[in-house]
Amino acid sequence: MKINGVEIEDTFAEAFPMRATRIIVTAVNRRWTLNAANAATGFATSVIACGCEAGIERELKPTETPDGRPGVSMLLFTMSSKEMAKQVQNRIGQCVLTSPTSACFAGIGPREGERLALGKNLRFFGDGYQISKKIDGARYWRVPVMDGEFLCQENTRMVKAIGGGNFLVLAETQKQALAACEKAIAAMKRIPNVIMPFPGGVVRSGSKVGSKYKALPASTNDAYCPTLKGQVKSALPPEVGSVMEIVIDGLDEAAIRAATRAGIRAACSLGRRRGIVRISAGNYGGKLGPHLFHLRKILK
Amino acid sequence: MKALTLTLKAAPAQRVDLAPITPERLRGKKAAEIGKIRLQSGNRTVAVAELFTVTAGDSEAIVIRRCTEKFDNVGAGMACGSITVHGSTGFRTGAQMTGGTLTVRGSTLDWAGTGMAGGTMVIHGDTGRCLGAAWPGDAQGMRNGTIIVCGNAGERVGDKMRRGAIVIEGNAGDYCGARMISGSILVCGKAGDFIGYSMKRGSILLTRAPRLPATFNDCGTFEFGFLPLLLRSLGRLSRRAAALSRRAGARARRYAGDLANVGKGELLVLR
Repeated sequence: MKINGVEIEDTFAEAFPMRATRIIVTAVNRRWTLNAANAATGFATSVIACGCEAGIERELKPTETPDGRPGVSMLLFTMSSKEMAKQVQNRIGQCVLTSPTSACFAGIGPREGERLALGKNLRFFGDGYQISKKIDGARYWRVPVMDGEFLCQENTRMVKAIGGGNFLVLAETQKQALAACEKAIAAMKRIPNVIMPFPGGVVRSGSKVGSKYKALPASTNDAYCPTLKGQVKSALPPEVGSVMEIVIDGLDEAAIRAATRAGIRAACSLGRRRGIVRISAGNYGGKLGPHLFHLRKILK
Repeated sequence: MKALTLTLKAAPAQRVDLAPITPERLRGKKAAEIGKIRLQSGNRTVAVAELFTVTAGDSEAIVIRRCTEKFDNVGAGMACGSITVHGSTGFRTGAQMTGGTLTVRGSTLDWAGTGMAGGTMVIHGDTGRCLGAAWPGDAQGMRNGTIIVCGNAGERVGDKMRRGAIVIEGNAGDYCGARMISGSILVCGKAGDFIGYSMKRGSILLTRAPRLPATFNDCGTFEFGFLPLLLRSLGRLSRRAAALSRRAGARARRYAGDLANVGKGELLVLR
């Protein structure tokens, strides 16, 4: 299978179950909304060392937010409910509560998934001066802070989700691989219910399981490192000089499929002539994750 | 399916307790059975059919026509469905309601919504004293739900109110929000004296500066993020609240009090 001369490898991405929540952050303007959201979703590229994977799903217009101010919706993914509770409390407490003019709301409907504390514990920062307001069945906490009040919904919801959807872009040069990935990310950001948690959505350091060093659970994916082509059993054809990966976390399989489709098509739009050689995907032989995303099936 | 309709034949001489007429109590009953229900009136009882012409219909949507102030406990204890009253009602309208919607297309006497724990009550006219207040001996007044009064309200609106929201589109009498424990009261017109007297917590929203009790302190004017949410929510039931929601934004002057009590309540004067 080829798109614009770019080969789509007959392989699949392997993904695994995660827990996810969506949180809406608003502020006085777009700049301060993004300041809060970027901080809250910072250092959240991989659960391996960050505790969670998080990102901005999309920006929201004032008409789309509960308090009529500019906002963003953030998605957070973790491997367990317990870790999610910890991550939400820490990230909202340290990054959103602290950010001037911010407010924080649940982004998942009250009938979905299970309850997850949002402002429930953060309210104690108010030292007894916090005020509860129940509006339309939802409880909000008004916490007095130095710039006025921090408004935070008491709970959000946590749902079952999928993490680790991915595809690899194999190109002749680093510049071409990056250009293809940038195009892919721009297209994928229009898809709801997904995030690409790595910096700018792109990973250049794909890993394999295990290492020669006993302490490390994962190490560089040498089969896809172009500089090792003559040194290891490489998976790369001779013309490939750079590989980049896009990792996708989504609320369901359909969202990951839609994002994969949009991303690969956008990456392939540059075509073989502009150095994009092949699209592949990372997997563990289908043994680790229950969710398999076959590239060719998705692109049919 | 059309509504179950009770049309008053003639105004009763004595007060009548209409508490048995609620959607859940009439569920599954035929018009003839409903007509036989006995209503307390003074020291005797009267059958519904003696007072009303009962027209069969959906008991989840009850309509009472030509109602007068002689009827107490209209919609009292209702938990679901709707009751629409054409005319005025007596004391304790919507008392102890836990759900559903009660609409009075007229005025009510005192103690409307006392002990209310859920649902929505809309009074198109005026209401008497002690709206949503604690019944004597009760520790708490209204515990949840929403009350909208399109006209004026008497004294002691939301006395010992614990939760929920009250909107007075007109004026409120003295002691509005007195001994309030929590919840929200919006007065679109003027509020009387002793507003928030001895309130512990809760918010009283005003559109003009009140005669401030000595035990309330000015905190200044600020943006309050919850105000747009609250006003938009109340605006779905009240046109005045909807207009305020469009006009007022989130800015309000805050007076904290009652400092003679717990002192965690507030009067918010919308800008």
